[in-house]
Amino acid sequence: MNYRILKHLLLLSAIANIDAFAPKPFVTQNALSSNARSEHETALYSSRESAAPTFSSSSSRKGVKEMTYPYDISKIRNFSIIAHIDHGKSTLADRLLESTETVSSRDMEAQLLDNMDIERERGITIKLQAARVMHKSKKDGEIYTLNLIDTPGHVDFSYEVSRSLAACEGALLVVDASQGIEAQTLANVYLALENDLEIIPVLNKIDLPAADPDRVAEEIEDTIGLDCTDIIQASAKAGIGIEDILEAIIEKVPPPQVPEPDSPLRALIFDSYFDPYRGVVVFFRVVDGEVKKGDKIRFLASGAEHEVTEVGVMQPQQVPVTSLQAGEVGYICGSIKDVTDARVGDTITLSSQYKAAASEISKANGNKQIQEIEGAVPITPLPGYSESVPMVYCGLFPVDADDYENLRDSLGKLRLNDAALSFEPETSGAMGFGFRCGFLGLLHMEIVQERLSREYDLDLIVTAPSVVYKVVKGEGDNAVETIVDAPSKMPDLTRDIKAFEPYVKMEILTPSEYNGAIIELGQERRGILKDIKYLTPTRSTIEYEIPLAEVITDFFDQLKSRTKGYASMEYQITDYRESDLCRLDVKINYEDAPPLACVVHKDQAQGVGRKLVEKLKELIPRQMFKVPIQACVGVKVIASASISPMRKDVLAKCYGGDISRKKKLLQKQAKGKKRMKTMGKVNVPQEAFMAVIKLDRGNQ
Amino acid sequence: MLQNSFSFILFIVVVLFADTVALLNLNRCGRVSHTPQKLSSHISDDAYGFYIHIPYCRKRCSYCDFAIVPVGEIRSEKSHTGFKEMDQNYRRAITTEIDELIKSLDNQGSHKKIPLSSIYFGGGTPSLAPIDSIVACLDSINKKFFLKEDAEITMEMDPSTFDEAHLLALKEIGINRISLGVQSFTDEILESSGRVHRRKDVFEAIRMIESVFGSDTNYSIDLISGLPGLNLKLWNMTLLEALSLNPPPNHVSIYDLQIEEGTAFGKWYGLSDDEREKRPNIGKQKYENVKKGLLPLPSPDECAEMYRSASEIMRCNSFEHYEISSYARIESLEVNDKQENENKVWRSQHNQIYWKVDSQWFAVGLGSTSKLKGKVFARERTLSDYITWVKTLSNGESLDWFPTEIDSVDEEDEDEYVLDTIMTRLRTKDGLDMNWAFNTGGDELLDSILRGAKLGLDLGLAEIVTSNPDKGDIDKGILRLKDPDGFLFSNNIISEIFAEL
Repeated sequence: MNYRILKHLLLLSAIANIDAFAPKPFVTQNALSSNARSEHETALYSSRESAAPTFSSSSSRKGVKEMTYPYDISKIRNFSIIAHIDHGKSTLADRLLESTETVSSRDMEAQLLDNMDIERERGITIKLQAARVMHKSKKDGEIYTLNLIDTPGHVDFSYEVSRSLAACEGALLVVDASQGIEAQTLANVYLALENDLEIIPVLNKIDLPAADPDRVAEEIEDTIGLDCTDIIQASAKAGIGIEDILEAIIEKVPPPQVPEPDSPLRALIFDSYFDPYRGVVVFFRVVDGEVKKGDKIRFLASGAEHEVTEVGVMQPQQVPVTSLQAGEVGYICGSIKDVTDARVGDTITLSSQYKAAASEISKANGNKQIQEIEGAVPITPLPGYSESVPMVYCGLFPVDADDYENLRDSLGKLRLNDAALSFEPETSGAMGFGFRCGFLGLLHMEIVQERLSREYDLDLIVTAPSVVYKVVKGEGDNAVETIVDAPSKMPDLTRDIKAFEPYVKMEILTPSEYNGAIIELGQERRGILKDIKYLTPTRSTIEYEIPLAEVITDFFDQLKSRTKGYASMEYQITDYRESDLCRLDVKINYEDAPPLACVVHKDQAQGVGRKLVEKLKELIPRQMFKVPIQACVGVKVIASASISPMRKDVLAKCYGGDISRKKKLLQKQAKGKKRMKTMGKVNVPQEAFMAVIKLDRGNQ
Repeated sequence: MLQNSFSFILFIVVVLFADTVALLNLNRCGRVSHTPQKLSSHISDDAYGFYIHIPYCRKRCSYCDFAIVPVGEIRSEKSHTGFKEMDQNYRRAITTEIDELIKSLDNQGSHKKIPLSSIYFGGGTPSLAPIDSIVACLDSINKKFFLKEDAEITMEMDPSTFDEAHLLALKEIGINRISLGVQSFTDEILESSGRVHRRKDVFEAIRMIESVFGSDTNYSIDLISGLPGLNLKLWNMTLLEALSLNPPPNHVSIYDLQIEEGTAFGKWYGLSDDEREKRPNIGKQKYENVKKGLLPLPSPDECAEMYRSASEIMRCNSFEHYEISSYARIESLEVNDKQENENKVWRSQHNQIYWKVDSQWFAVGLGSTSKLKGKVFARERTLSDYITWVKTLSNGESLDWFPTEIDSVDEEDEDEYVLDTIMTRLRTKDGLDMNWAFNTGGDELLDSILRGAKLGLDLGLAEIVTSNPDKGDIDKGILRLKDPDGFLFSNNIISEIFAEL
């Protein structure tokens, strides 16, 4: 398998899957080729030009008539689809929507396209976070409301996934009948099981010659413990088994729980995005109570209050409705300017109900202010909310210093849609002005970088990603904990300092023949092997506890190359553990180069140091003088290399006709220099900043 | 020496304040601008250069990527007929171009004859061109231009392409300087470089030049360092051999071999130093069995040493290293009875025009480049394209060819002008006048240049010297690269400055 192509595809699909923040509209999903997809999305994302929050009253939605649907909670089924990339989730979702009674496939397409054009003219994006369809069961002839809630596909967004799943009662587990279950899928299935979801396994691509339904069914049974005797065999592409799936959803997925009568509104936010014309659009699932236009709502965690200007459902285009009640899924808008007001996982309630409940408590406590009463909870939030915590940081610096403002604006705009992205200004002598940015994980980081360069046309220098360390100084009550989000900020370790680093639980799914290669990789990366299980005689899962810092170097690349691309992995941050860490400094021409520093385990310092200086020697072009490169721990030089000086850099002739040509050459050379940062009088190219994560760490 | 640099300062001063006199009677409206001096005044009253490109070569050399036309061995009867026909076509094209140029000048109201300080027949191998073609060119030029006193009329010639009769004819029509393409004195190296001539042809050529032009003949030779088969020792011998030529050359151009894309060397040895460094014995090993076998290419280290060595040896032998690849003989002349000497430095008048601030030159012929009123124009590089292009001149379709409107000067031109000047001036011993920089772009430009040059200055590769002691504090000095190490890293230093602009 061509590994580079694979990586490219992965990245592409990742971009196409900026799910947590922008799950694709169905139109996009219909685009078959990846080329068409990316072009399409480029058009979609061109929204930035008009991203200024102006909530004009001339919004075309104003005239849209609100619909009223019959409400019967026992006829509602909320479900999501869990599938690995390429296992056919998008196509299946399309088919499910098409085969419903309410929207014929032709109508749906037409509707969507019309909608698209309007949206595109206005320069905003429509996104499918959920779709509501009506389906008439062939079995009982009743009409059911099916809500499909989309989930992001990557573990970086596992929190978002868990909230989406928490909004459902069931999930379709879609597995490619020719390939079997993948690590990513498995992780999401576990999340679904944790949320007590009813899981309906579906074997997709059953019509492919390579399909091996029996083996894959067995694998699902062994891995997850699901009964696969009546597993649905389907092909979304060929339209096989779609009706069976819909019937299974109606039959197996339980309807939402009927709430206590008169209970206040509680609705779970599972997604939100920023619409330049309407403000933040919040997607939620009502658990208790009812919400309608004109209500004043309160977000329990953020404490923000807004008036609802629009309530609606997704069909999948947004259709305003009069109200939404328990069990239903929909969206609201309320001129919310900041996406952090309505974070994923937060609970929506009505302001009036909250105040009423608060004043009751207040009365019971002698009219004390609600804030002053310890442990007072007027309305219990839905469980599972947590603030997103960045786990990976990197520095982003514009190649051209003049782009700093542009970078700040662009990050600000991305932040509107992405509550998990954090950034603060960072300045260094070598790099100039830039930002230190925090991300949920590597994929999240790559997506943001990609969007900055693709949508905002920014040329950036990215420093190597690093995890967030914790340093504790002193003992007992005097202990002071410091968060270290940049390697250069790691203090010199003395006896009274303890360093902690984040660990992850990692699960690798692989053909068994690569077990050895993976264990070797795990050992190189300080992994603690927890378990090896054989799912089938030829496939195993390997479980590791491993420092996150080791994962964000080229772990995934190595895993893919050592298993010829067959292994898949998934990880979840578990805890912080004390580690014997040290800061590895790099000196170029005897000058400290903080952006090149990294934090490593003491046992690795020597090996990483040696490889790092060699790599830098390769990446930094020759200069007019000899350039020593040193790796140091504290004051001790642990590895060094030197770049021999260039011997000459001169162009011989330069007469009439040569002048333009030579000038072009020199301009090219100058352009190259502009793209570098100067450290110790040495021009350091962009690649050097990522060198530390590209080292071959084997055979240290 | 001192006198020489003084005269140069004078020269600079003349150039800077010469815009009161317009030679070409141009419409020069006064542009108001924030910079003290704008491109509209970049016209000097100095005489112009005139370049004529003669593209013929017997064959293409292994290192050559120039606009040339290989014509084979023209002495054979059969190819002679074909060559004559092509020469007729080409002659017609260049004389037409000259006529059109004159027409344009006349149309712009310039009725005076224009002074030339140099006419240069470059190539190619202009010595392959029949005399009557050269005469035709000069006749056309004569209609509108006149030669200044001491003007140089140079022709590039290759050994073994001419005889005494040919030389005599050239002398009679006014050629007074010869640039001889020697390149090497070693037959093996000449052969591998694709040169047609051999060592003995060089000496025979010089003997003929002496017999026709006399022992005080003004000629220059070209040498190439870094050629396959050269090593430092052999290169030093090449230099000594050049210095012992009799009569001595007044000028030596020494090029460090550049391996260009699309040349035979490029194909054989690869294009980049890095690529070759990984395979230092490439010539020896890989191509040992190919045809005659390739000579090993010297390493960049050795080439750098050859450059240093050339600079040292030439300067020790009374040559001025006045530009990265150019050496001029310093001749001591007795000027009066009191035995006081004055130095005559035989710099190439023509080439100096290219490196001068605000310089202008005319050019005609295949692939040639002219620069008039700050506008650089490069002609077509294939014969048929060029001939077709010349035909369009009479109907005025080629707009860029001869700039008419001085108002068309825009910011881009201004930037290019600054880049051109910095690049060409830093190639010369005389360096870049920072007063020029200040006058052109004020403190901003001055500071940018100094920022870019800082590393070179810190490393002792460049220096700033006083331009004129009389100026005192207001003197911004002259930035120049040191010889040889500064010259050796000229690209680096110049591009560093470009990056700051």
